[in-house]
Amino acid sequence: MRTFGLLVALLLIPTFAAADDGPSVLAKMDESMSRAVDQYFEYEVVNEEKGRDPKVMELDVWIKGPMRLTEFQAPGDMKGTKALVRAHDQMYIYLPAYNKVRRVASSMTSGGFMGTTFSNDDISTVLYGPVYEGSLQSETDTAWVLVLTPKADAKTAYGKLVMTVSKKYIQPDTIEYFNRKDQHVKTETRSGYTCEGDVCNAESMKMVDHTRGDASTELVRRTWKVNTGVGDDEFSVRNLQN
Amino acid sequence: MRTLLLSLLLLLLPTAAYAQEGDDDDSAEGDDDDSAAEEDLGPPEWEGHIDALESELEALKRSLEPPPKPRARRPLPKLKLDVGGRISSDIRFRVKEVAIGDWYDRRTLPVGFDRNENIAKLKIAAEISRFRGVVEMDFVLTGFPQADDLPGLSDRGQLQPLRIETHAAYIHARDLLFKGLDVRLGQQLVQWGVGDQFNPTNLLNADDLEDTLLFGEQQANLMARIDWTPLPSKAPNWTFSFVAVPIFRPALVPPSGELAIAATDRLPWAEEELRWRVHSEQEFAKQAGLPTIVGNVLVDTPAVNLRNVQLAARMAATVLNQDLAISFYRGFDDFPVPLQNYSAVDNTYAACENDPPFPEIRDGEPDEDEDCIDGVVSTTTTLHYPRVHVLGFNLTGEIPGIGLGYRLELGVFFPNETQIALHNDTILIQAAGEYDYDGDGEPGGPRPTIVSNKPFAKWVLGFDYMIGGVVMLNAMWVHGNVNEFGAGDFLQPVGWAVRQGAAVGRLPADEDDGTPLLTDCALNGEYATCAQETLRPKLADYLVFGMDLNFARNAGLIRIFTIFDLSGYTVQGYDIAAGERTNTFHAPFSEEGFSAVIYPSINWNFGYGFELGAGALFQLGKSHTVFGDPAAGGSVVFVNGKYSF
Repeated sequence: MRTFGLLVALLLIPTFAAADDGPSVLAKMDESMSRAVDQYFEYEVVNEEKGRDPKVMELDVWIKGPMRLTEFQAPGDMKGTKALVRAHDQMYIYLPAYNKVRRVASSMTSGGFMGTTFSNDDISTVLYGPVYEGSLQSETDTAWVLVLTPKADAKTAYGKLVMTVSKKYIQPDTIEYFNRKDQHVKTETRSGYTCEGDVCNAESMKMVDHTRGDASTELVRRTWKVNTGVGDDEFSVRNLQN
Repeated sequence: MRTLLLSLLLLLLPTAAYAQEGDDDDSAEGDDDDSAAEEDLGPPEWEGHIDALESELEALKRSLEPPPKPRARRPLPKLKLDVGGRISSDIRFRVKEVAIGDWYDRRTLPVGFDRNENIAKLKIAAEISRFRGVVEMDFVLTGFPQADDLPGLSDRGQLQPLRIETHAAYIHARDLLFKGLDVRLGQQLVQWGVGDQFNPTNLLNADDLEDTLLFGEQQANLMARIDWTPLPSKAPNWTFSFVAVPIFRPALVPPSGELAIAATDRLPWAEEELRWRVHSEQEFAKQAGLPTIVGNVLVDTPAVNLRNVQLAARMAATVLNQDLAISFYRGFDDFPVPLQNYSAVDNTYAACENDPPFPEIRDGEPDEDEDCIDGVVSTTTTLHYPRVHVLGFNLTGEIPGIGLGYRLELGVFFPNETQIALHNDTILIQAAGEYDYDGDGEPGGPRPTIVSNKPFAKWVLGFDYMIGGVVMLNAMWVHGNVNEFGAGDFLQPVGWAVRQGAAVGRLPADEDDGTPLLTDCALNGEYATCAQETLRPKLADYLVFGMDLNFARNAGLIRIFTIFDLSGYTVQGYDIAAGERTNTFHAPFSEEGFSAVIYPSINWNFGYGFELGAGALFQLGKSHTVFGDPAAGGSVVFVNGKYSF
């Protein structure tokens, strides 16, 4: 009887493993990406385009829940520029030259983020579940491949995302972005994951824009702090002006 | 520690061995089972010694004072010093001469270099804990030597004019007495308006129109500001602000603004019949060889006292994902209006049109058709800044579903009335004293109104949209330009701005060409038959349209910025055939009514903070229009470059 039970259990294991469907993987991924209460990054941003010298920028990023605050440190013409995402459809930008905080409409989110191949939409998407429906396309020993389509009421610049999610880190290794016409427009690669406790993060995020001759932007993480205790009030218009 | 204990153990071992020997002796004396004890020599005895040693060691351990733990160091806040700046160069060239005024009071902006400016901007921010200090200064080398006499040639300040602009010099404390309370003191900008460039609710800082290419820039001013965010974590965008500006600062007007004083026909008061009379009198005096000029302009700024402290309060919030704010301002408009005129004949201006310039002396008599004057009626005008209370309303967000961003900025102005006092010395037949406003033969009467106390509204309604991530469109309806003040628009057509004025008539000695006699108009009350004016509403409407085309991954930017005057112009005059005054309206895009700014530019960002740009500012329209006005400065082309660090 015990042998029979063991046999049944062994037969069932693959069934349970295969039970990972798109929504559950997406939920797990969002959970993995939001384990930290807050995070702080310092990035070096390298823009590369064929036939041109690479351009380098430096920026600091604070993330807490769906909120994100980005401040440029270099080059000089962008220094002090801040972008605040409080929600997917509530974004602000502070331009020091004008000493003014300006609300940014969601139609602007399809535009490049400060000249990078990352769009404002890419930057503002902290969690994918609230914006996309996920379905499992395939699975290997090391990764799931998800197809993400926008939810009916979501505002997003893309028609589809194909995302390879690492089973080890439960975070994206690659994201292929497709426009509304189902054309593959960008590819993002996240690599060099490291972990602080159960919070993992990629050391490099590289976005290649296929519509611009494979121009690319790579965000190379120079500093990373987890759970710094930053308050919600840091993600405010008030803070942008300070 | 472990090493220390091991060392102690090693040191103690000989002593323990000696003690062990002594113990053996003692036991031998009184123990009869020596043989048995000898047989048991070895492990049991050693075990005993080891036990003893261990207990001694434990005792020693206990006797040893544990080393004091290093006191945990509280992390001290570090001073963060942020230094940045910019070096920029800007060269502009006026492509067409603009001029205003008759030959005896001609003011011209010639073709040529209009600006040759180099700026070194330095910004330093020091921050420690919740406290921050910021200084931002521009060192501006204007490039045009100003020396025009011998001492000037030995004055470096005149040969290399340098000025300093302080854009910020303030201290800021965050969460000062309790969480959510921020205080900022010093030279600063308070920008509450959500409109782009045109901000009827940005009233605390005076406008800076010195550089015509920077539409809507404002000057920093000394002020005290308190921002209170009651729930900084739960509702961080709900903020109450209070600002006090102790000392009023006037608007900075462009250098070309000086040309406006040659436009003596733009009579500023509301009473039209009085304007017609003065037009007639000015023309009569001109025909008699005494044209009117503005000889001097004095400015009366508000006294520095408690009553004149500018105060403002605002409540800002985010409701239903829309950002809104209401505000109140008590202070002054930063553009001056006339308060007093004093006119007198100045015969030192006697001249003829073709007189050679000083020091040449005229050889021969004036030609028969040459215009000559015996002098001028020189007016000294005193300007002041009208007191005003303003209710402000700002709303910004986006229209759901289409991602169209909008911004609405509305200011409802409650001005104090300003009347002008006109005084004169004896001029022709006019006796010295206050002007006879009501024409009753007695000096004085009800003074003309420059600004009525009727409330009025100025607003900006703007939309912005991005197409394909590279083209950004921005359109705005601006009701009331930055320097327009006072009731009079399409909502309440009670006030007009005179853009051009004249009296059409002849002197009795002239041949009868069908025009009325100036003497009848100027002296006998028939001014309505002579006076002609070109008018527009005091608060006009404008369409502002901008387009940014980013290319080469934001390295390149082509920008076209335009302003179209939508109010049109009305010409009022006397129709001799009809026997009445008539109005002729010139629509905004007609030949007489068209007025616009077209401002194209291209900019290239080379990276690492280095940028070059070029462009043009075309100000189009007839001279009576707002942008075709010579005082607007005319059209220029420019190149500029900057390096930011």
